[in-house]
Amino acid sequence: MAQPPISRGFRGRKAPVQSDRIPLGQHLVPDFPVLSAGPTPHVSLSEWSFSLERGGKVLKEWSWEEFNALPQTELKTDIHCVTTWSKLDTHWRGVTIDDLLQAAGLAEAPGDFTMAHCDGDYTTNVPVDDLVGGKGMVATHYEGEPLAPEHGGPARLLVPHLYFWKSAKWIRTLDFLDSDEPGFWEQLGYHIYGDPWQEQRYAGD
Amino acid sequence: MPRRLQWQVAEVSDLIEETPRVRSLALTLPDWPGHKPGQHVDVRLTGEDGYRAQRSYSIASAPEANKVMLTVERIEDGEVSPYLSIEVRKGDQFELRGPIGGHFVWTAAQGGPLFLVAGGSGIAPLMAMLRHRAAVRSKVPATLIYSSRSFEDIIYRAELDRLAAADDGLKIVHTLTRRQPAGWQGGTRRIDRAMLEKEDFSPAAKPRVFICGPTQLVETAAQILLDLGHDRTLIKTERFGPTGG
Amino acid sequence: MQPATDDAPLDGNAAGGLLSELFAFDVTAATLICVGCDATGEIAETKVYGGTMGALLRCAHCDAVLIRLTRTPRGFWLDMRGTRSFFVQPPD
Repeated sequence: MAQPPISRGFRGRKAPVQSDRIPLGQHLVPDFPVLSAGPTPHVSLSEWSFSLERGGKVLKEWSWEEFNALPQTELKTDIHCVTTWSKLDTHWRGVTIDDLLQAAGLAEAPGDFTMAHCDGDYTTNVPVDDLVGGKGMVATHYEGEPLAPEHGGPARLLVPHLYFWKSAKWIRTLDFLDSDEPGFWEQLGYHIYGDPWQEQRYAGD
Repeated sequence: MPRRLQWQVAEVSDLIEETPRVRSLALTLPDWPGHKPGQHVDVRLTGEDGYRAQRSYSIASAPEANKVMLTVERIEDGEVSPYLSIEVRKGDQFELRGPIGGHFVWTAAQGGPLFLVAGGSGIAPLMAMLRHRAAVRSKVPATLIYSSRSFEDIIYRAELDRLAAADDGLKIVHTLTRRQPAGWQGGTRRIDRAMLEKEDFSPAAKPRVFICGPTQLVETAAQILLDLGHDRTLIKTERFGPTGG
Repeated sequence: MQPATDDAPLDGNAAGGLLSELFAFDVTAATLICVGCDATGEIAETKVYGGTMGALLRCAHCDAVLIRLTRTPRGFWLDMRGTRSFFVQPPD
């Protein structure tokens, strides 16, 4: 199979510096690209709620006021999108999944797997082990400011050690399951787990 | 016989500086099947490290010209357009596939009248239609309403003047939204209902409408024309994204 | 696909190339009926989301997803549950 022609002098927008903080196949970008599965939902905060559920039953639900009264955690982390862009040292603030479970009176997660449900009908699956122990949060602030709607505001799931499609924008429910089920992109050939350090972009990788 | 689209290698054979921010590229291709006015191509660039980017560009040349010409506007912070509009030289190569598009197409055989609305670099596919119309000496009446930021930003300005001067059946209306030269007689605001109503073919004439440019302009113009009573099935639109390409 | 913000999505013309990798020929002029609202429209009129992850074509009237298409190293994934019917005339 012939090699594609190299377009002389083409470098794209990515920065030329590579480091061991950038997984294989990724490039640093100066901006924060927006990628969505649908139009940006616009939800009034007075109508917003977030819930933990299992088997169709709400275990605990928080209004926006109640949610923001929960313990807040700040996090500095790198993020990696399956479309090959990465950003280092991004700053987030939100409520960790550990703190949500505690506030719900749950000593442990009621299931080994989760499905995030979001405005706009987006879903993604994340194992519980990848959310607890400080690994995941529901984030409401980015770089010190309330999360912008096009980036998932008012609240998005943040699971930075997995490819960024797992950090579901506009999350409203975390549903606990007994088995792993594919969410929106996972049903279209993306990897069920999505570890950037093993380059698990697509099913079968 | 239906033909599967394949990537092929395009080589830049000529460069034309249309405006300070816009350049046209003439390309040679090993196996170009021809195209219809309004269609576009996908362009794919591969850097030395294997990094790839892909964008779509409308074909600006008429099918009769027997070549593929793309018109590229430089977008600040763009990834592909700065490369194509500034860096690229004659002899450079990239991958291309096409022609793509069966919806946003006009050939003289379809008849008219023809009503074209363009914003910025959205003029490219409509220029293919006008160049084709001239090449086949079509008598289909045509009107173009073309919105640009300033006089210097009007793409194909001289050629549009020539086409209109040579053909009573072609009317071109310019509007300049940011800056106008001294003595400017044309429009000075964004395309709106009054402008479309004035220059319009009446809905009863059943004009074939093609609108291309930034998403906002396209949606506004399309809605106005629907409100004026134009047939939804005769209005065709192509969005170039928020910044126009 | 062109870069676009999701509030100003591109139309189905932008997905024409990817669709043509799977279908034998250009299908941007194909007509679809939306399961969500029964509206009829051409692929070129749909709103395209998904960026470089894949093509998600949404109904211009009700935003329901009509077609999902991704290309992975192993092959194409196509989901058309949002489309009631699909009609296309082959090119002459």
